[in-house]
Parts: sequence; C-alpha cells; structure tokens
Amino acid sequence: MIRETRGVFAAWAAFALTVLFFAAPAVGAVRSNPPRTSFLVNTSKSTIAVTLKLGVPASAFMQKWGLPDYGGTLEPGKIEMLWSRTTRASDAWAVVRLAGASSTKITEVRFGGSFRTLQGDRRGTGLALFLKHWPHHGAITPVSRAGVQVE
Amino acid sequence: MNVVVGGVVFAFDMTKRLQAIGLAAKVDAQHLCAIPAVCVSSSLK
Repeated sequence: MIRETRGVFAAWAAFALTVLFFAAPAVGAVRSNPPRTSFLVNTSKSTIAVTLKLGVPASAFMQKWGLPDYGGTLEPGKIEMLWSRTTRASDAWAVVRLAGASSTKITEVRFGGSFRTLQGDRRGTGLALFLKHWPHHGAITPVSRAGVQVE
Repeated sequence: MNVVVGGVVFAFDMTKRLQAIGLAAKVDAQHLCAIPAVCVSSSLK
C-alpha cells in the first residue's frame, strides 16, 4: 500500500515537474549519467523496460531515467527532453520528443544508455551477429544528417 | 545504419557496432537518426 502510494505520488510529482519544465523552457542545462540498469528491449511490443513506449506520458521516462537535463526546442519544430553526460548535446545519452508544447505524450525516443534484447544484443554488438539473431529484420538503412552519413 | 525489428529501431555506428535504440512512428522508423550523441546537433548554453 505504501509502495503504491509512493508510486502514485512519484508519478504526479514527475508530471508536475514536466508542466513546470515546459512552462519555463530552456531551463539551465545540467548533466546526468545514464542509469546503470540494462533495460530490456521487447521488439514485438515496441517497449523499453516494459513500460516505456510511444504514447505514454513523459513522467514514465522520468521515473526510469530521472529528470531530464534540458527541455525545449533542440531541433527545429520539435519539443524535446534531453539527458546528457555533460552540458553539450553531443554527450547526450537519451532524447525523447513530445507531441507538442501542451502535451506530455511521447512520440519519439532515442536511447544510447545500457540496454539488451532477449537475443542477447547490447551496445557494441556487431551488425553481422545482430542480423543472425533477427532473421526477419527489416532493411538495413543508412542514415544521414546534412548530407553526411552518421549511422 | 538502422535495422528495424518489430517496432524498435536499432542504430549502428559507422563501425557497424550497435550504439542506440529508438522508437518512432512506423513511417519514420527506418530513417530515424537514433544515436543521441550524433543526432542532436544543438548546443546547450
């Protein structure tokens, strides 16, 4: 009962912080380290750590990853929250996009912390081994930014 | 490069090592720049 009450309180506190966060965008950047926990990725349910998925409130991510280090417009036309090891975006370890300035619903997630799949894949796994684990994977797509391939 | 499995984007760096994961709408997933450190170019001040 106590645990449940604390969970509800934490959720509301996170939500309230989210509201405050976006009421005053560009809060002074701080820094954080990714959690040491290795989050399980479920490909069939499109989830991270069971509860993190598209469409859930930002508070769900704060409960797992802590308060973001920055919130506001990082990229043109996007409202995002960022977690970073330093005050530089280039040291970011997670970014989530919100549906809009008046919504806490998450529409996009990027996570470079510790994770694992049911097949044993984790950060550092080579592409060839990964593809063996997932014979029914989608296409392999190069990703570019400003005309330069980055992934 | 990205490999989408189910609804999850797996992002590999230029050395073909898995670096990050992403979630995005199906239409955007294939091209999602998912590695935070290389995909967010804004500087924080």
